[in-house]
This record gives sequence, structure tokens and C-alpha cells, in this order.
Amino acid sequence: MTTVRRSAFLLLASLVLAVGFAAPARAADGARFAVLIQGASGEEQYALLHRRWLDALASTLTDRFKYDAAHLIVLSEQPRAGEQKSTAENVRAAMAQLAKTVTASDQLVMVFIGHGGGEGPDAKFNLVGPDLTVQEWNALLKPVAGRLAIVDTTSSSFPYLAGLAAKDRVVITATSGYSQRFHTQFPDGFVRALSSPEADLDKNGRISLQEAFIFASRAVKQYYEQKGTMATESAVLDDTGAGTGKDATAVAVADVSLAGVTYLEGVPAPTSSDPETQRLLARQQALTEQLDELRRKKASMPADQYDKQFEALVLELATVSRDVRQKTAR
Amino acid sequence: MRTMIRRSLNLSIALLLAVSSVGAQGRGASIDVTRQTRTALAHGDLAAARRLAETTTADDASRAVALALVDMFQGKDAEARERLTPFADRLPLGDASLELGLLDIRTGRVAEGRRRLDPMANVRNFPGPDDYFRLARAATGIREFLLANDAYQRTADVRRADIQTAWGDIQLERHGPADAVTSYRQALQIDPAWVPAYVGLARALSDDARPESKAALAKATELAPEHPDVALATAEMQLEGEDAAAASAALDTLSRVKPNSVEEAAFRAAIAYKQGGTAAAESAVARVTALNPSSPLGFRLAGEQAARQYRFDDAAALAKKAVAIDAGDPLSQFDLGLYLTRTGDEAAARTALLASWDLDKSSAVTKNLLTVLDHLDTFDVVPHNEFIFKFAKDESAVLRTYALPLADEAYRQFSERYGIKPVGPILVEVFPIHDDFAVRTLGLPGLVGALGACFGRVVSMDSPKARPPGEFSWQATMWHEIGHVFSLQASDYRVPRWLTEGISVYEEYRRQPAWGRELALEYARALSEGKNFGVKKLPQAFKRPESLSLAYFEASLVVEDLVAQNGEAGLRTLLRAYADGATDADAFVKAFGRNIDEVEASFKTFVDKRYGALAEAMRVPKPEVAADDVPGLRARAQASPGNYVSQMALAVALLKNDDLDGAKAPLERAANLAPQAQGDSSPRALLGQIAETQKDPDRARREYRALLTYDHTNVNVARKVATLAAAAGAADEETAALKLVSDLDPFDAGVHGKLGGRLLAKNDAAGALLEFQASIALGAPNPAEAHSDVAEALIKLGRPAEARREALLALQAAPTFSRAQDLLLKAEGK
Repeated sequence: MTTVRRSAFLLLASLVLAVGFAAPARAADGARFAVLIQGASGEEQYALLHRRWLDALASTLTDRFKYDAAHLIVLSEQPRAGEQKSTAENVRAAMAQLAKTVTASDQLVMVFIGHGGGEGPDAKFNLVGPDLTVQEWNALLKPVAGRLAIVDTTSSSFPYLAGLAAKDRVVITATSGYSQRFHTQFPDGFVRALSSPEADLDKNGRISLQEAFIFASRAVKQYYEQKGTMATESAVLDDTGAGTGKDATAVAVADVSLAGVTYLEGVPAPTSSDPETQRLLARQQALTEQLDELRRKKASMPADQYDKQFEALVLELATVSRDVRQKTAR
Repeated sequence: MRTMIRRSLNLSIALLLAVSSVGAQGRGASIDVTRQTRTALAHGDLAAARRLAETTTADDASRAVALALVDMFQGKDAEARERLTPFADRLPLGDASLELGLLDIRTGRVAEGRRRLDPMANVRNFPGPDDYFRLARAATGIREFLLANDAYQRTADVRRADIQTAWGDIQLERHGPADAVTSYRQALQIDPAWVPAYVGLARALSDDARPESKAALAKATELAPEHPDVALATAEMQLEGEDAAAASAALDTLSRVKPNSVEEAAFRAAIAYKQGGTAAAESAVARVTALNPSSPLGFRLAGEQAARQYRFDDAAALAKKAVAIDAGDPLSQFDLGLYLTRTGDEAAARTALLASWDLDKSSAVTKNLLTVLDHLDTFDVVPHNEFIFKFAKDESAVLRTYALPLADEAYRQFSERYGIKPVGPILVEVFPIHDDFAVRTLGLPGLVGALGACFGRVVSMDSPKARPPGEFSWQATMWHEIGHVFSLQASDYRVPRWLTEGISVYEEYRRQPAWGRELALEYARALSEGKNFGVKKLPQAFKRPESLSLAYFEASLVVEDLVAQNGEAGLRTLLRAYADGATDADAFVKAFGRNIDEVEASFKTFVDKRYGALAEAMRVPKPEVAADDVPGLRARAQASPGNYVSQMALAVALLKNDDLDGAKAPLERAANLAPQAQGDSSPRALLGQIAETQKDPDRARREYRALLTYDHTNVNVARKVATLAAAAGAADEETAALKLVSDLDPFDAGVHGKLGGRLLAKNDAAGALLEFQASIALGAPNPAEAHSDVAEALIKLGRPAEARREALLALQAAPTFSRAQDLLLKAEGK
């Protein structure tokens, strides 16, 4: 009996590994596009708050992450210069345009800010005027090539998780159940995450969507704890296409996942004209990749073997990185 | 252990309806005379009751029952038995049999009583309310309380004072005072002269509504001064009020109107305990045993008195003796379990409580305590020096970091100050759910205002998670409760409540000048209205819920003055005087050679000096001005610059008109007059908010910092100060504010990381390490940084091997993190 059980485990482990290796997660290396949509606010207080989040997000993308203005589409409730009204018609037009311009190596991030409502197939992100169903959103996204990331920060956003999940797509919703219908705090944390060094969990100088998701989820948790009230939202993320989602506590930073390598910020690989420095940079890059590879294998390795290999690689990486810093005075 | 046959009223009612009514013997005049006699007795009119019984035209059996009721009312149990026996034998399901069965059980003939009552508890034929009532009483006699309650439920709408009162009695006995009050009040609506209902009401309200309780007993006394129940309840209340002489006098009355009652003898055992301890109580219980060898009541009441005096070891020993007499009594088993929880012997407590629960599954309190013991089984047990801590598992890592050193410090200071090493170990249980704390303390959820409790060597308290952050300082609570351990034990548990609370609040203040002084303004206002208590009235103030908070505050001031007058040794002397048996009246003379009037005079001088000016500032201003009459408010504020209320009223009116600049001056005056003001509407808080609005962060920080000097639980303002200080580069201020946040909300992981960073910058690596470890225990928001922080502190502490391990943990999360890489190399010596 013991033998059978062990065999079954090994088989399962090898299947997991096969799947993992079949589609190694890598950062998108093409152009970066974004669509920010602020829906109908309903009340003055929400109009102000949603606009503030929209503005903060837009300026983070343009000023900090240097998005090309032509690649950033902003649809808002009260459009300003360069923006359009967040109607279903304008959404359709924007998506049609993106379907033509976004290529397979590009990345498109969409963020929904506002209110949501309804359940299941009837779930709606509240646009100005008639809304779109989840199926309609999916149909609009389908022709867009490249990696897609959709962050629905609104109440009642949960149905969008399963509704929009697909291969090579990251979907984040601010809520994880049909009963979570109250106005959300998640967008506040998400917007802050993108410019907060504290959100950079793997300390590589960039905030991945996974890191922003974890940061924002923590901020939400803290908000309700400090307020002393029961939390009425809990965000979930799906980057496998399964549409089931996991919350921040189930996301391991050390795991190499699609959301973990999806960045809003694009940073070119460092190079140097000094041959010795360039050799060190190449070694640093190689060691980092070896470590990523090792971490992917961790679950299938005996712990002591993993630790031994990890310590050797990380020690060398530390030494090389110190040398690089000394050479480049960084 | 006796196995009880559980019977249900719901079973077989339909089937048995066809059975002829053997219980309902004698309708009309027969029932009338019994009820009329019972009513006359309940009105305290013995003569009328006797006349009714003697002159009735009802059948012989009913007449016998009526006469027996009169006999028993007077304590003539033998005569009653003689009257009832022939009819009980002839009609085993009749009223005579019921009364005889109950009499037998009450007088120790348990087997005979059960033999008579058991068949009655099986009757399921209910033509009228008397039949339900008969079943309920029989079931109560044989301790089938659920069945009894079922029967009473069926009569809930019956307008009978006797039935509603009897229901109230079993509810009260089963720890359900709120339900009992409803029943008693219903009885009194039906018959406003029903003395037993007033007596029951007085008992049921005695814990939570003492004035109403007293009023109910006074009414009962007015209606029937010679009623035995009134005398008994008076004795009980007087004993609870610590007046043994008055209790004895009431028992003398009881003895006269109803000689040789077990209750009288049992209460005399309780008084004996108060006056002479366990040995005296045991001697007194002999009389109870002589009257009824199977009654545990003497030991139970003596145990109750011991518990009232916080002598839980004695209480448990006496309860054990009660159990030895009647192991089948769920109340004795419950008492034993309860007292054992208070001695800290939770394993033995569970055994007793389970035994009680097996015997009576109607007691919510028993169930609650067992549930809390189950919860405690999941806690982390942390033995530490003289203490044993119990923390919820997910709180343990953080709380132990702070609680253990704090408890050590308290122990060290108090041992020195009070000159004792208390009997231990001291068990400290910290509950993340307030209702668990409440149940651990009193057996029932609620206890809304309480934060902690002490039973001598057991402390139970709310954890910081039990309430929203900023509602209280859990550290002040722990300090306060450990203070009780010392004052209780130093006085051999004889310290009066006002003094032990006064000492604990004063000790809070000594530890941290903002602790224990939260009610300064309220006290000053009371002082300005002459509503403070003074030394003499403090003990009474502690007995009234509405005056409790101010009583705590004033008691701490009395203690402060006593220490000022007599030195620290003075408190020791005073506690020793109580230990030697002094009362409030003579304790000061024995301790200091000063009578209470002299102490009172000294205290008045102290209070005038300390709070006289504040009391003047808090005085209700004249003339009265409408809240929106700005010119009127301005004129009044100008005319009374020393009046806080006038200044604040003007400031609030100006703020409502958005006149921020105008509001500043009165707010500043108010802040100077009453710097102790707390909360978001206090002058400092409003000045801070104005400064924030006017983009003056330095001023905002200054105002908020001043606010925190007194408002020590204001976690939101502490967070603001930390942020403002960080922005201004005011490192020490930021550190102080972060420290306050982590004290109040130790589960904020981010704060620990920041605070550790501040301490590390000041080369306090040991302090920093504690904070960093707490941050990790809470699931630090950034594990790579958190482990690097720990590694850095460890390197500074010269612990490279541990530092290496932490650096590697950091690199597991962030392999390219340069800081962690450097720390790894440093730990490796490279």
C-alpha cells in the first residue's frame, strides 16, 4: 500500500513538473499598452475618489513607467483632454483599435475602476449608459493578441474572474464571492502598490502584478482590521486560465508564475562597454536564471539537496552582484 | 453518579390524553382552597391562610394539603408530613403526594421523595394549568429541569402568580436571572402583592441592578415583614453587602417565624465562614446536616461566601465537601468547577463541570464554561518565571514578546513595593474573543465594560484583538490585573474592592502617567458639581454600576494621597491591617493612627489642590447660550476665560461656520485649561485637524503629540504622528509614535518593521531584533526585507550563524536583493 501511494505521488509530481516546464513564465518583451476605465460613480463622493485613483494610475503609467501616450487609453465618467467617455460604444471602439495594434509579443493591461453589480452571466461593470456583459467583454478581448492582464477593482467583480480567465492572461478581481457587493478599498491599495517600494517583494526593483495584488490585498485586510469591522471584500487572482483564482495568502512570492513576471514597467537588461563588467553582468544574469530554474524544481527535490544547490548559487550570485555594484558604483 | 432518565413533555402527549386523569383529582372547591391558601401565604397573611384551611368545605385531602401548606410555612414539617401521608398514600398522583414528595426531598428523605415524585413526572394528562404546574414541580423535585422548564413553557401565558414565580425560581437557580426577572415581573403584573415574586426579583437583580433589587426587597418587606422568604432574602442581601450582623439579625427573624429551616442553618454557615474561616463554617454546617443529612447547602453557601471573599481555594474545598454529601447535585458540581477555574486548576474544573453538565443539561453557564475550557485547550501555554501565560496560537508569538517582559517588570516592582512573593504560579489567560473572556470570568457572555479580571492568582483578560485597535491599552490592563494579585494576596484577600481597584489604577498611573487617568475631565466635572464620593462613600460607589468608572478613578486618587502622606510603606501597612481583620472603619487607625475623618480631610485637600482648578474650568457655564449663537458664545467665552466649556462651545460654533482661524484661540485656551482632554473632539485634536487642513504639518504634529501625552490609546493619532514625524525627519518622535502604535495594535506587522528599523538606527540591536521577529511572526508584508532586518540585527549582536540563516530566508523570497546578498556575505565573513 505504501509503495502504491508513493508511486502515485511521483507520477503526480512529474505531471506537475511537465506542465510547469511546458510553459515557462517569462516577461513580455514587446510594447506595453494600457486601458484605464472609470465607470459610472453614482455619487459625488465616489466620483471624486474614482477620479483620484484614475489620475494616480494614469500618471504612474506615463510619468513613472514611461508609457507611450499613444498606448494609453483612458475612458472616464467626465472625460478630460485626451480621454473619452466610458460608454460601451467607446469601449468597443477602443478594443477594436487595440485588436489591430497589439501584437503577440506586446502586453495590454486593463484596469476597471468604479462599481459593479449583478451575478454570474449578468455581472456588470457599470459603464456610463448601457453596460457590457462578461461575455461581451470576453468577445472584445478575444481578437487582441499578446499578454492580457485585467484588473477589475470594483464591487461584484468576482464573476469576471471565471468569465475572462484564459491562457496567458492574468485576471485580478477585487472580490471573491457573489456576496461582496459593497464599495471596495482594493483599488486604493493597487494604485499605491505600483509606486511603493514596499510592494517589491522579490526586491528586483520592479513591481509585478502579483506583487501589486499581494500589496493591495494586505492593504485591504489592514483597512478593515484597523477600522474594526468585518471585511466585505477579498481579492483573487488567476493566471492559469482555470478561472478559479487564489487569494494573496495562497500566492507564494518565490513561485515563478505568469502574474509574477507581468510588469507594468519595462526595464532593459543592463549592459556595459567594459568587457569585465559585461562578463560579470552576463554571469549575474545566468546565475539568476539558474536560480529561477532551481526554484521551479523545488517542490520535486529533496529539501537538503535543494538547500545545498540554492546556497551555492545564491552565494555566488551575491559575490558577483557585489562585484557588479563595485564596478558600476550602483 | 446517578443516571437520570430524560423525559420529554413532547413525548406521547396524544397517546396519554386518553388516560383518565388521576392527577387532576378534586376540582372546584378543592383546588380553590389550595390556591387560596397558597395565595394568602404568598401575601404574608398567615392568619387568613390558616382560617381558609381550617374552614374549607372542600374534601379532606384538599383540606389536609391546605393545612400542610400553613404548617410548612411555619417550619412545622413533621405536622405537615403527618397530615399529608394518608392522602398521599391513597392518591399517589395527587397534590398531597406532590407536597409530601417535595417535603421529603427538602428534609433529606430523598428516596421516599423520589418514589412519590417520579410517577408524577410521568403523567402526560393536562386538562388545565394546575396539571402542568404539578408536573413542573415534581420534575424540579427530582432534578429534571428540562422537563420542568417544558412544563412551565406550556403555562407561559397563564395568569397565575404562583406558576410564574415558581418558573422564575428555577430560572434563577439555573443562572438565568434575565429570564427569571421576566417571570417575576409577569407574576407581579398578575398579583402586585405576591411577596415571593418580589423576593425573587430582588435576588435576580442583585448583581446588575442593585437599586431595583433593594426596592423589590423593600416592597416585599413592606407587604410581609414576617414572611420567611423575606427574612431569608434579607439575610442573603445583607451578607452580599458584607454586613454579617444584619444578616444574622435577619436569620433570627427567620428562625422565629420558621424555626429549624435548612436555609437558615446554611446561611449561618456562610456567616461563620466570613467570621472564622473554614473551620468555623464546618462547625456551623453540622446544624445543617442535623436537619437534613443529604443537604449540601451549608457547604455550598459557605463556599459561595469564600468565593465572595476571593478565597477560591477555600471555596473549592467547601464545594468538594458539598459534592461529597450529594454528588448528584448539579449546582454543587458546578460550584466546584467554577471555583477550580478560579484557582487555575482547569483540569479538575473540567471534571466537575462535566459532572454538572451530565446531571443538568439546562445550564447555559456550565456549557459556556466547558466551551471556554475547550478553547483554552487550543491555546499556547507559555510558562515563564512566576507566570503561566495562555495565548491564542495565532497571537502567541507576538504577545509573548511584549507580555512576558511587562509581567516580569510588574512582578519585580510589586514584589518590592508590597513586600510579598505571591503564591503562584500566576496564570494569565489572554482571550482574542471578548465573550470568551467574559465567560471565563463570569460564565456568561457580555461583561461589555470589563477588560480584565483577577481571581487572586488567575488573571483573564481581553487580547488587543478582542476590541478595535485604540479602544484600550492591553498592557495597562495586564499591569492593573497583576497589581490585584499583589494587593489581594498581601491582604490575605481581605482588601476591600475600593482599595484593590484604587491600588491597581494608581499602579497603572505610576507605570505610565497617562494610564489610569483617562477620566480626569469627567471627574473634575463631577467635582465641580459636588458629585464626587470621598473616602467614606467610595465602598458604596463601587456597588453602583452607574458610578463605577468614577469610583475607580477616585479610589486611585485616594491611594495616591495615602502614599503621599504615608509613603510606599503605608500601603503595605494598610493591606496588612486588612489582613489582620481590620474593617474600613478601623483600618486607617490601625495602619496610620488616623481615623477615617482625618484621612477624608487630607484627601479633600489633595483633590482640591490637584483638581480644583480643573473642576472650576469644567463647571457648567452661565448664562446658557444656544450652540449656534456665535456672538453670545463669544461674549461668554470672553467673560469666562478660565472656563473650558465656554471656550470649547465657542470653538465648535466657529468650526461649524468654517472659521478655522477664529477657532484656534478658544481651542488653545481650552487646551491649556484642560490638557487632559481626549478624543477627536478635544482641543488638541481639533487644533491638529485645523493645522492639517491649513497644510501646517509641524503644527499638526505638535498638537497631536501633545494630545497623545494624555490620550494614550488614540492609535489613529499615533499613526498620524509617526507619518508626520517621518516626513519631517524627526526620528525620535517617529520612534515614540511607532512604539505607541505597536503597544496598542501589536498585530500591525508593518509598524514592527519600522520600529525595529528606528531602534537599529539608534544601535539598539536587541530591541530591534524583538520588533523584527514580531514582524515576521505576524507575516511581515515584505518577507525579504523582514528577514534581512533580522539578519542585520543578528550581525550587530555578533550572531553570524543565525544571521546567515535569516539572509538565506530573505534570498529565498528575493534572490537578487542586494541588501540580503551583502548580509549573507557579511555573515559568511566575506
